[in-house]
Amino acid sequence: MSRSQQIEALRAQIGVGSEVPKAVPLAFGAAPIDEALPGGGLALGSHELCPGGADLPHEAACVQLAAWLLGQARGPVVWVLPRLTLFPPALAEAGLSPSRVLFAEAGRDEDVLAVAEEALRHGGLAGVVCEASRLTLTASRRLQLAGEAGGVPCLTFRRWRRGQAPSVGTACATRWTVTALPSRAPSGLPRAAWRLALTRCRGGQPRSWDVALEPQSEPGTPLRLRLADAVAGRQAVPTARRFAA
Amino acid sequence: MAEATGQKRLVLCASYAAAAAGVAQGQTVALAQASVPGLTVLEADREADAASLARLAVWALRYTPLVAPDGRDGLVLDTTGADHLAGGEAALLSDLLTRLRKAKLSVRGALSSSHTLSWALARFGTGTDGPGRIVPPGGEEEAAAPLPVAALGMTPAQGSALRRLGLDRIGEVAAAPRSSLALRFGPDLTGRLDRLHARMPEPLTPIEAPELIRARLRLAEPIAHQAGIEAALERLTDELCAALVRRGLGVRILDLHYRRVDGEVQILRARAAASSRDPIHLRRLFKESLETIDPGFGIERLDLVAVRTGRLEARQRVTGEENPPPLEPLIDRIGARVGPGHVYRVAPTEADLPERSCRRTGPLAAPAILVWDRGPRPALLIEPPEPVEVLALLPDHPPRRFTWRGCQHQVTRADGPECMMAEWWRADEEVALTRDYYRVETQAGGRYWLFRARDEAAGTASWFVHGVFA
Repeated sequence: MSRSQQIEALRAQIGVGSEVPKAVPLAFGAAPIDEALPGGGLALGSHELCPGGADLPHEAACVQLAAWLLGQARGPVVWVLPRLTLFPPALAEAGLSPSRVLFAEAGRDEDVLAVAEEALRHGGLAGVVCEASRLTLTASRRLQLAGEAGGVPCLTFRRWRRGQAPSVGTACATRWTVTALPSRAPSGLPRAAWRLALTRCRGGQPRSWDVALEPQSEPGTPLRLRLADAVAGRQAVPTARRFAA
Repeated sequence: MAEATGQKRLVLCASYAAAAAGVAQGQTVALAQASVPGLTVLEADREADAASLARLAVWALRYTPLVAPDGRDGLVLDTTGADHLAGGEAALLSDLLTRLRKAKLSVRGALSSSHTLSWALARFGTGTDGPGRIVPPGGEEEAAAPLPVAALGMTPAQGSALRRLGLDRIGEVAAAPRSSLALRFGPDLTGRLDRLHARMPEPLTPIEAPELIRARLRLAEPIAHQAGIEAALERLTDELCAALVRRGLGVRILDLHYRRVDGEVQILRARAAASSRDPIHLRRLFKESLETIDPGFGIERLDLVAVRTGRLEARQRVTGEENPPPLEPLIDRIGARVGPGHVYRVAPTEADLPERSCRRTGPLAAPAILVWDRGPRPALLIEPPEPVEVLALLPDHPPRRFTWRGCQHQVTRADGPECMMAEWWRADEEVALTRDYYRVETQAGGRYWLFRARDEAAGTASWFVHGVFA
């Protein structure tokens, strides 16, 4: 056996050089949501987060949701934005430590998308967040393809522009509309409560859930997403579907 | 300073004091010692002189990339296109002379369109301490005219022959009939005059900074198209990276010099976030700027120079663990597109006030030790804070209603106050920056961060919105 053959054999034995990017889906940790998504969470490709209105609380909910989702995963995160408006301590609170986030301020929309695409193709990230208000069909398809090629989920945060809702004629794996709701509990402190509407899902059905982000009983552990029914102390009972013909 | 020449020991150079006492260059040492009692004679060391001149030449690379030792007692700098870096020709020359004089060297300098003229002016034209003379383009003949014929740099025999003809000044030589000069003194003299008047190009053999690792590509046929330049860059990066591997170095700053057919040299610079010697990565750094190259009639030479390098040892791969691809290439590619300052991380600071609690750090900075742990913080920060109209039941109560950007919000829940102070021990103005923060929820489901800024002197309080919670 020649030397090069020996090296090849050893390489094959330890499996180095044959790594393919494997996708670990970003799971919500709440069974009804994860079960509704093909793959058990947000896997490959582009996932759009649209605020449920022009008001800033809906945008804040999108930011927090993106941070919380990526906080569950391991590895660095690239956050591409035209200008830094989010407040990094909130990301840390959602479980995404600042040492994991690399911000890229791109200014123009085209640059945001180009940088996001570059980051997606890198392949070694936990995820990419891309703040893009205007998104064409072509640009969204490029993001989708880059995410699939790199095996990295892309969370595209679609901000409102001048009171206008983001366009929906785009290619994406899932699209969510996130609306900030009043807190659930009858009284007490303000606490995050959102409506997550899955308005588009490739290989799945559109659905909607009311959720709350709650701290767990043990301090220092990450926040948990709870469905509104469970928050109110009730079990969600699936209603059996009936058809008459 | 003395040196043995053949049988005799001659004075090579005299100090100001010795020269004032009558010691002249070219005298025999015996004569000088006889005329000036107590004269100190040192042996010249040509090798050491050449070595220190070479060191000085490397130092002078700070002004321009083209520097060469000139004879055994001078330096020549080609400042073409480099003077703006020092703030103009006058600033460059005076900076050069001042720095050398501070290093206890007695220097003279001049700047002109001709190497020969600058040489002559520096040696025969100006005083020892004055600022260097600068000859504007076109003023060469006028500047050269009053110089003695010795400034033509001829052999002593030729010099005395000229003087016998009554030609003492260069202006007189230049006015003499050219053909008879050439007949009598050979083409050397007329060539020298032409160079002096900047009518003939003068080649320069610049030194190469010894610590710079470079790759050079000379092209037999000039290239002017993008594909050719990319192919050339590919060869250069491969060659440079091979040299870097041999020395165990990686490159941080990389310059691509390209020389066009018309003699113009231009430079493209690329920076890497961390030392690298991956040819593919280095080529990508130039990807954006390569399109800005104006090849003119063609590029005939390319140099790739590693301006700043750092140690980069081979890395051992750990098998059995995940080996995520390194981040540095990605940081560089993003930086090349959006500008290096726009890729960053954010780290906590000690400050209390929200707008001061973050600082930007480099993309490869070590993780911070501090953490943000002062309670819930909004996902979006309104910076600067915007004033709101507020209705509160009591001065210390959270507001019941507030109006922001023309919209009225009915408050249903509130939490607070959380008192935050600025660094009051630093300045008096900081004392006034004391705020009470309230987290409020509106009927519509929005959660906002309001604060009340107290004005102790006036006894009033004003309200602002500073953030929006998720």
